[in-house]
Amino acid sequence: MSGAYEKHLRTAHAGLDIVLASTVQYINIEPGVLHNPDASGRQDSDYESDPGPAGLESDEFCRDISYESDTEVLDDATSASAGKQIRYEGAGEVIGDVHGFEDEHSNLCEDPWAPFNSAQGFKLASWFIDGKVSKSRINEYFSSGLGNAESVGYSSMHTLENHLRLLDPYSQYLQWFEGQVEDGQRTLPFFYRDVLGCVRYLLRQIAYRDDLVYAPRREYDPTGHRIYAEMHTADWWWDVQV
Amino acid sequence: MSDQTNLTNFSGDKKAWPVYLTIGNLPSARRNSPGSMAVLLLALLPIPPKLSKSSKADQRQRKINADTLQDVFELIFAPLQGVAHSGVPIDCADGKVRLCFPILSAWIADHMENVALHGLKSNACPKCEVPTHELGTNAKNYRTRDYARYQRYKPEIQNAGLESDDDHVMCDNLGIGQNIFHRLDRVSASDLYKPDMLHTIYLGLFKHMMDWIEGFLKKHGRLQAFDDVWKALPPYPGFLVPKKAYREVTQWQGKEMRNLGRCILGVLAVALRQPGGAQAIPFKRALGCVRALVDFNMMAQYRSHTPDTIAYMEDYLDQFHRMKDIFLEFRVTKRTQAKVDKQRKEIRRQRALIRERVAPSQRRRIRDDDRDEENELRMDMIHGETHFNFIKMHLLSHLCDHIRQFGNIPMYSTEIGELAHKTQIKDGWRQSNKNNAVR
Repeated sequence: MSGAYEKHLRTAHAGLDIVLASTVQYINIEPGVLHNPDASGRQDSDYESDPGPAGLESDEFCRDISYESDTEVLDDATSASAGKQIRYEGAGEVIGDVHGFEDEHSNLCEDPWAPFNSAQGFKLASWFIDGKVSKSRINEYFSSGLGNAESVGYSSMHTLENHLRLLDPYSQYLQWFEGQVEDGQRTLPFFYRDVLGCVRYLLRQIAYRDDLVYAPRREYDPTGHRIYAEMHTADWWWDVQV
Repeated sequence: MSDQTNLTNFSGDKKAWPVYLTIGNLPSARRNSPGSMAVLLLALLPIPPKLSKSSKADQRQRKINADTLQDVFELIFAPLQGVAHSGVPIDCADGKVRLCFPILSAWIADHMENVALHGLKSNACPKCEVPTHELGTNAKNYRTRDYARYQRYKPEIQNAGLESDDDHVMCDNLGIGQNIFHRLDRVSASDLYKPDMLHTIYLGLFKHMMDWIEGFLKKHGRLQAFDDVWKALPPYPGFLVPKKAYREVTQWQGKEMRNLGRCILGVLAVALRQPGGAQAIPFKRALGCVRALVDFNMMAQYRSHTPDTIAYMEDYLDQFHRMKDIFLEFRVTKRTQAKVDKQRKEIRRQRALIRERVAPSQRRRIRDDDRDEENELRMDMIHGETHFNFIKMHLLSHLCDHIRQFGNIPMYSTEIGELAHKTQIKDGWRQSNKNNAVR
């Protein structure tokens, strides 16, 4: 189980590389930070690639109603084009700052490739994992002297795994638990994660920073008609909000 | 805050039953794109054992399975219980702490899984108490299912018969076991069901519709014309050119069905061109019916709706229900067909006895009359026996309300879960040694 779990974690990390890369790109936009912006860009892929009018229309809406999560004030320019918006008063209220967030942020700005010591190290690791190179092949790569261990910062699968483990600072939220189940004939194990942990993990991802919506709102198009699009624009969220 | 769980079966020799989780705070485009890793694997459950042959042991095993499932889900969702009322401070990505109320809001699964988890029979709607014989109508005013109430009635079902009619309607369609969600705080179990584009429309109604169309074309001798047009489709941005005639394809995927939805109306319109005298009306109705369904499907794909577009959808659905009768005779089951044949034989035998004395000159006229009468009888029988009462027909009626409540439809499609399989399970599986079945 633990071996397989490691493997799962590793495939998860393959995705996290992309997430991290997009974070890096996000941070690049901030003033005062100088870094080459050639990190692999975030792909805003629509899950349904329907080129019909429906797809186009929705894309426009997405752009129109884009919303700055950290300013807490709606930009008049964006809301004017999408018509009126009504927000649920007091929803998504900020009750404090995350401890150590500033440090984490500045760390990311200063050393975006951490725990790797260079862009090369990060990219090589991404290449290994995306290409599903096996452990023994990675070890071979280093032992045969193909790679320059000094510049990439790791010299074997073992050290690479250590780096990968550090890559996700919130992995403690995703701990697996094991349970037993009696089905009348035999006892079977099953595995689960903490639901709340998963929610915390998702909300904490800096990569989602610009996308997260914290409160329901009602949107209206310029002619005053209600728009039902994403979950936060529909009624259910509004109704359960306390 | 809300969160959303997504459950799908993972088939193959080695099976797993993964449960995924994601949050509604992310816009759907971000949440559902596999690269953004927003869908987390929440649990891997064991597959319940296959049911044995003997029905008594079967019954017992079912009960055990249902109870086990209940226990497992209660364990998994236990952390959400108090928190749904009181909230919990959670660190957010923008460096702020917010009081969050995670509530389970959607359970995305195909229909069979939904009914299993809701403790219903397979032809019951998880959302409302629609009786089986009315599934094919477009009525919407059924009572929402109240699962907490079912729990109270449960012991009585097993012990005594039901008293009132009302109770009977309610307990009709209840399966073994209970709704595993009914005890969750602030979760309305009947709201968890989400319409599923992939299975209800693409693989459900479109598939049925194609069967009807095939029957319809056969009856009117246009099958060859249809295939010819189908193969002659010119390339156009937005749809794939089908490589085979419709009947040559044995397996349809959601994506192909979607493509079919795009071109079926044009193909059909061409295949049914220049109708003969008596064909004009049925052809028009068939085209109208298909058009209504295709339009409805297209509107359902919209990523954002206004009250106007929802009204259009309701309109199209109405139209479809008004015109679907043209295809009724192609919903005939084998049993009904056998009955019809038997009836016809019987009539012919009786007639042969009577008509022996009739002069040969009159026979021809009488034969025509007989054929008309036979056809009429056949249609009567078919109308009496055949119906559109299948569950997917009914599920369409919930789509419009769903948009008002939860937003657009495509983001709740089960396709998301199937994508997540690939990244989260299958890749890990391929890299593993395949010995240890549980991961």
